Amino acid sequence: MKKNIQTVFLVIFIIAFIIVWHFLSLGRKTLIFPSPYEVFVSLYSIISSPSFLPTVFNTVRAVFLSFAAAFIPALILGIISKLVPFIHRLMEFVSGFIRSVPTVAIILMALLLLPVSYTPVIICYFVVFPVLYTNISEGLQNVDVKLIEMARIYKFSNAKIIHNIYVPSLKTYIIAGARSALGLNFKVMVTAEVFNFVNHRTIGAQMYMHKIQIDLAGIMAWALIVVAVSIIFDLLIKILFRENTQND
Amino acid sequence: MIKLLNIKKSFNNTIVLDNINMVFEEESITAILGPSGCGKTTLLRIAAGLINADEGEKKGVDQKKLSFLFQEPRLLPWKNAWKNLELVLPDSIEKETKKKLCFEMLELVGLKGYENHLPSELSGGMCQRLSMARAFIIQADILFMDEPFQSLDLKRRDQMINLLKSLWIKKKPVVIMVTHDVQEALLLSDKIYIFSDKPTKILKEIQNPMPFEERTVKNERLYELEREIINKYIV
Repeated sequence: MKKNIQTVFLVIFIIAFIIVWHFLSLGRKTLIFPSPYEVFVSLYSIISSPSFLPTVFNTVRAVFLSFAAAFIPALILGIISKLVPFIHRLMEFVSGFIRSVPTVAIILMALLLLPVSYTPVIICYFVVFPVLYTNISEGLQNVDVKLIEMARIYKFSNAKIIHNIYVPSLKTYIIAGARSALGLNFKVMVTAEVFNFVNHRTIGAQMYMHKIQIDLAGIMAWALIVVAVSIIFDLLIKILFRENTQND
Repeated sequence: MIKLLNIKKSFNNTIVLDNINMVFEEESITAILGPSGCGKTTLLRIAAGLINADEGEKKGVDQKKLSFLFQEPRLLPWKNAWKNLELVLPDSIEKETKKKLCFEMLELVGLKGYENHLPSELSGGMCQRLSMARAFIIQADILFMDEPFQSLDLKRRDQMINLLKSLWIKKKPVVIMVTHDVQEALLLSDKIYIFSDKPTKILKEIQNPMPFEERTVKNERLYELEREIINKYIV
């Protein structure tokens, strides 16, 4: 019942947003402020184009590649930092430092220093890694020591402790980290693709093309597509992990 | 028989336990009674091997099957009731046998029908009973108890004590319990060690004059003994 009311409010909010947007766009030129109708027409033309799916696929693939490339070292370093306090302190500094560096500085440095075709993936790696590392490390540091003590009394094997205590304790931190990292990854990936123009069939490159043509409706349509794709993957993570948790 | 010999323990240069010697006989329940913060939990943790003593020796604990009833239930929140029990059973037991043992134990502690409930779906008292079921299902040689009834009201505490006694009588493991409640010590234990405040020393070793079966809240002798201990050693 409560969920239904929330859905109704969300729908009302979206409709109100479109109405306000429509009225604000009245009397203005499309170039300056496109109306919702113009954006939806542009959206339809993008989605119905044969290059739409390969374009989205290329960006999504790069997002997942950088996510996977960041996740594995984040997990390994998270485990090492739990075991070695010095590594924990060092990584706190390193991840804090990377987090504080402006994304645009990372993008520009990567464009100047690295092979062009890999730059979006590498840029995203540096943005996503600290988020994943911090969550995994925090999850490991916050494992309930009382449960570990209980496991020691009942002589659990190390494998049993990892499987039954560490992994489930870490799960909520990994889900939260993965969700925020993936959302962030989509945003940064598209930005990096705008700067890096090697492959035309990426969302960022398409946005750049619309920018050259001063087609604001096209840019807004692609922005809506990025939001939709990001939400779909966020929901997939939620569903996947919720089902796994219920199976425990 | 379990022996703790010349146990010493300090934290940050403060002596907590000073030359403690204790003996715990087979098939007996021993209570360690003392004021809060006197170091009784530290001693229990040393005996159970969770921390090391600075000096001293313990005999008769190594290689024994241990179980522990903690102040809080310490259940895995992501495992349901029977799986929390199954976890402590040896891997050598077949899965079906494990399940049968768990279900039987849950019935014994009054949790029949709650086998598939997560700890978050059980009340505090039910979680404590589940924790007790876990402590007894492995048929341990030594059971350590660290004020496990502290958070329960009087009625529930009495129920838990009776349940513990009914489970204990089956295999009679050595029980070493820590409490600051004189009545609780008298209701359960055969022997009581009374601890002083820090640096902790043993003030007195008392044999409970009440036979096991007569240790109930309905027995007037319980209250006489309680008053006697409080007046002599606590107040």
